[in-house]
Amino acid sequence: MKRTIKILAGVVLAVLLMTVIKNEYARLLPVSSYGMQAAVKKGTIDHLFIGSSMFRQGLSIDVLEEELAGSVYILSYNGNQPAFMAMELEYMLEEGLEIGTLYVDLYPYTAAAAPWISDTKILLDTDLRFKMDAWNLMSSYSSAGFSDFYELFVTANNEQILTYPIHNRLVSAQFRNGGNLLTPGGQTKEYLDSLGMLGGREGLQEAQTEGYQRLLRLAQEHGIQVCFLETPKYVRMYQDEDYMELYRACIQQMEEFSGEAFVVLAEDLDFDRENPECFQDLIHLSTQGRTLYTKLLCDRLKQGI
Amino acid sequence: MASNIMLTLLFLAAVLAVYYLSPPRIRWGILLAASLLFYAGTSVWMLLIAGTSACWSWFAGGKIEEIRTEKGKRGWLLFGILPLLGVLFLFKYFNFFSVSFASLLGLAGLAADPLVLKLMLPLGISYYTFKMISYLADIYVGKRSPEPHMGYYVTYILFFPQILSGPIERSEGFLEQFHQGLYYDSRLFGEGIERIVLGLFKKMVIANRLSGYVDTVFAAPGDYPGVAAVMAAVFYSFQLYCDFSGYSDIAVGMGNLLGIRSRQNFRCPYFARSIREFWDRWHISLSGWLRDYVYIPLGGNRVTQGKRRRNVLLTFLASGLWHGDNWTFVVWGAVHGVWNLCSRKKKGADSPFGKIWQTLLTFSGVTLTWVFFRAESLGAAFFYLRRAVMGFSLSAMDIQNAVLPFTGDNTCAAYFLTVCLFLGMLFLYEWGQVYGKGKEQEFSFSPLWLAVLGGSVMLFGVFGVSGFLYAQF
Repeated sequence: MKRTIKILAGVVLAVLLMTVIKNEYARLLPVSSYGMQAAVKKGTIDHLFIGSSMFRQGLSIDVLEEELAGSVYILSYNGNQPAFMAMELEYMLEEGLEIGTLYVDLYPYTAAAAPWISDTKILLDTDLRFKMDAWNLMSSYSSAGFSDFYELFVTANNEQILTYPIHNRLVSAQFRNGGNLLTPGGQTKEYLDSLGMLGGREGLQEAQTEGYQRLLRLAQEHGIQVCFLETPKYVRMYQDEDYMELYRACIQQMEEFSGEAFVVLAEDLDFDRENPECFQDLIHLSTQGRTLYTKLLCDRLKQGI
Repeated sequence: MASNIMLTLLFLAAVLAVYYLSPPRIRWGILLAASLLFYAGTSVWMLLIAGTSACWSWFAGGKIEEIRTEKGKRGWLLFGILPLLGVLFLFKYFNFFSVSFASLLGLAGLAADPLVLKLMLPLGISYYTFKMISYLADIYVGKRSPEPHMGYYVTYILFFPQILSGPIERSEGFLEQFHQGLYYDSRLFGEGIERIVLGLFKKMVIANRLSGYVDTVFAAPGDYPGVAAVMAAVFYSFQLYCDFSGYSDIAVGMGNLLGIRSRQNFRCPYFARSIREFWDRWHISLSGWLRDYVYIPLGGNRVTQGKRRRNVLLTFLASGLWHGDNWTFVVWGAVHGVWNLCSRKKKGADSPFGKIWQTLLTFSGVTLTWVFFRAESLGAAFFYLRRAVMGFSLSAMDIQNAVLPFTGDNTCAAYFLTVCLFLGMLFLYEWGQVYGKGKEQEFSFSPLWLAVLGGSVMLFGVFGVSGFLYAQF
């Protein structure tokens, strides 16, 4: 029995040590072609797009690189929220990244959500201090408990680290400069009409609006131009009162930033939001939609921001 | 234990503290109190049913011994068993037979609305009912005498580590330990911890990790390529095994910590080289129970060849029905019965290639039958199998789409590889158990295995999935 207890005590200590090492140093693994570490390694980025899967699926890296002068990088994490985008920006600036223009994802649902990291790749890209700050933010706005803490600090990303040589190669092949190289097709009207809506939220979250403000403040301090972008959603979203309520709240928030940031909404562009072939689902663009939207966006940006 | 394994282990820790601080003579009382508290935590009315059944069977057991005439004994045996079976039938099978009967009438052109009772199935009822029946039957055939201590008996029936999903422990070995005294045994305690670590590894690291994938593909097989259906069927075989044998390991390990030895419920079943050997290794407490209390009373082997076949089929049908009130389980039991009749136990003289071939063949057949076990209906099972065969191809796109359901995003490959790695680890461990020198007889880990399994649970355990598959039976 003593032998068993000794071994298990040793295992607990080893796990603790490995957990600390992982959370501090996993970011130093050879970088992939997406995420914060790959962006930092570039040193200077002329056009940095920071956002959620709206940017991953909604922006074509091919078109951006062709149309915009200078280097381009898309930093996207699933469900990336304004509060965390601000933290990510601060982290990258501290790591020495220089940015020309910053494009920020304007997606009302992430601005209305309680702070939470839904893409653990963020944790793989950052140090322990970032994670502690993120945890403090999440726990102050939710009832996050020990199991959440354990999941984020101990078990998160272990699969990716264990299989790193294969996983990293496979995933990196799907991206270039953070841009998604996979080519998902569009849908039919019947399919898109059959999808359930995303439901209501209780207005914008304080932590997220503070995130927008922090982004602007950081940009100002570092002389970075800022532009908020709303990628097109399928027409049903704009007919949904729950979504539109949040959308209007976001627009109102943007109006408060007038003079500090430029805003390009989907409705400002001549994009056909009723064409089902441009969408994978209600909120994500297909390859065709992504290409069309990015071209229209670049034309708009070339007019000056 | 079915709802939250970590809470159960915390509960066990509290029980252990009180248990070992108490004098040995009252430890059974601590166990009884803990078991009552544990089961009441799931539902008080379920506890009432279980408690009343336990008291009734204890009383009936005494009566069987007390009556002198054979007719009287048989009468008390039936009188003791029938209420237990009646309760089991009412809660578990009434709706199944009612709906099936109405469907049958419908086929005959006599439309009838089935009577459907809205009753919640008491947790563990199939397990504790079988324990009570075997107790009564053993007294009737003179295999044991009635337990004089009612408290011991009720503790045996409601023993909290085993009440929800077994093993279906026999009374003789279990109650004997109560009479000998419940003492601390350092070696058994260490063995218990090791068993719990192994159980947690199987449940948390493998079964829970596979459950999301299996659920996704089985819910909509038409949405995925045939190779995904094949993968999900294979993964379901491992999920079911790791989930149930993981539970059994934890339950036996918890008993060991309390100084109680229990029988092993699984012995590396996927290393079986025939279906008969598979049933010697899978859910041993149930297959042993069915052999002793269904197959042998029906006549067993000591009858004509035709009757023996009938007995085998009836036993497997009973096994299917025990698992659930659905025709899928009946078909699953029937297929296993027929397969068992066509099969022979393999001798050990075959070449290594022959052994591997037989093992793979048995595993493939068992995996095929698990599809019926897992499917919601017979139609769904056949649709699933058709999808697996007709939609099968090994194109790069199909393989990519087959791996995607693991997480639905670009981490799916990492999850898939990790699962394969851990299944490989389990394979190596069990290989050592089966083909190592005399290893099947004793349970022991090398320090390296213990460290690797313990570390894997802490670093790779999937703690969000609660519940055990076999708790629903």
